[in-house]
Amino acid sequence: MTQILCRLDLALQRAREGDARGFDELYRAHAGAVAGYLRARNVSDPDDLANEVFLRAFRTVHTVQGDASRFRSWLFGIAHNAAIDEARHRRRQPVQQTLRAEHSDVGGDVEDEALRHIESDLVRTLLESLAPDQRDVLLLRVVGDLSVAQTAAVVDKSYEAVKALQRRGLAALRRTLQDREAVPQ
Amino acid sequence: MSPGDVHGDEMNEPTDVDEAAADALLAGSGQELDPALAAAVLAIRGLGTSAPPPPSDDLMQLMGTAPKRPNAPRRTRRWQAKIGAAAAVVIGATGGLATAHALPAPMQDAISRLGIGRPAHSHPSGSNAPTPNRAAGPAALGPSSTEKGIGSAVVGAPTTTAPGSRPATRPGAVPSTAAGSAPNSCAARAKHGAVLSGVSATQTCSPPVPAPTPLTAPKTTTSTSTPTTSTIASPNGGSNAGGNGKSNAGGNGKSNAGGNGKTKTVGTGRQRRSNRSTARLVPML
Repeated sequence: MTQILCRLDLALQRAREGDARGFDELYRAHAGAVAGYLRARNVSDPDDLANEVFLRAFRTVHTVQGDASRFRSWLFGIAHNAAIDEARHRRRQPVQQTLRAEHSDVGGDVEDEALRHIESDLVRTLLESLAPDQRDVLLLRVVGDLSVAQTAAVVDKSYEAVKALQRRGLAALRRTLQDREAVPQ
Repeated sequence: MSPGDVHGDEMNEPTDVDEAAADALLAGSGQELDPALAAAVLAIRGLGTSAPPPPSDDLMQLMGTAPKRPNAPRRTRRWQAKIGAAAAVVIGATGGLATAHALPAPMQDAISRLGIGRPAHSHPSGSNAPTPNRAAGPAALGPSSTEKGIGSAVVGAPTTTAPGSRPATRPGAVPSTAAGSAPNSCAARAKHGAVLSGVSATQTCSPPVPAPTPLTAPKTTTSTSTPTTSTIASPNGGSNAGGNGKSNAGGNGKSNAGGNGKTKTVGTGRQRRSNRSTARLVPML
């Protein structure tokens, strides 16, 4: 793990200097996780949006301070905001507003419509059972592999709030599993 | 709602997952605490382990992966080899044709300057050896529809061929002479120029043979006449070469050839009049 971080630190340094090898290394290391996070957020075209996220990140990578871990949290912050923007954009669509009318109280309901695109029905079911904040926190903690502090910075919440959200999110998952008596293989 | 707040409905949810268990489960090491929940977390984690999506064009350009084409150099080398082989074949074939003296005259001349083959004007066995009159066109092979009368006149004038010339093998063929056969392409060009300008062919293109002396050696001089110039004069009631009523090839013993321009200076008075009438007819044609 340390070796990987050292390698990514070197890649980040190269990317700051505009070296294409650094960009390539960072993309290979993080693109899958970013696309998976966006897919779990029910983005309509997660691969395309992931490309857009990396394009934004690489254009301003020289402003990133810190190591590769800091870059990862910064990258997922861009992805998080991009997913929110995309959800807002989709929410403006008239047809989708009609579909969202009954779930408007929970917020971030646009993602629910696209849950059917997720490959695993079980994962979809589990994520549907979470509140949007819980889902964001759990996805950033699990898929993004971010720390509590990094997650708090991304979702703009306090450290304690993130801890509470992840606890309650896990409890909601457990309840869903018990209700459905579904155990993932 | 300020940052850090929680939803109202979350307040009623059971928080039966303590903080240590939550950290362990999210870290992927809480299998013994709750296997089902650990498996669910593992399934969610699998979303982030998918393969990276293909980068877009802009991203590839930024990453420097767009110009990468692993097979491009090999493909380039293959094409270079093909082009080189084709060029070698073309050069070899051209050289062989030039050596065999089988190229068109301009190309033959051009290649002979490179040291391959011999010029189109040269002869294989000597300066006076005849060569097949390929560039002279139909007039050299036999009478055409417009030159039939001229061709018969040539056949009827057997005495002016140069020594060593190859006899015609076809009826109506023009006997090839040293002076007449050498400038094949030149003769054709001269003919064309003469038709356009009204000037005789020998004034625009001199054959690489000694100039004939028609007045002093009528029987042995070579003839550069071709039936083509006579064709122009045929509407005049008689051929240019045969303006004196004799053969095309200077059968009067004085004119080298009626249509080759020599008659301007050496022809008889009647022949000069015939030439003048020909010159008047040229613009009309």
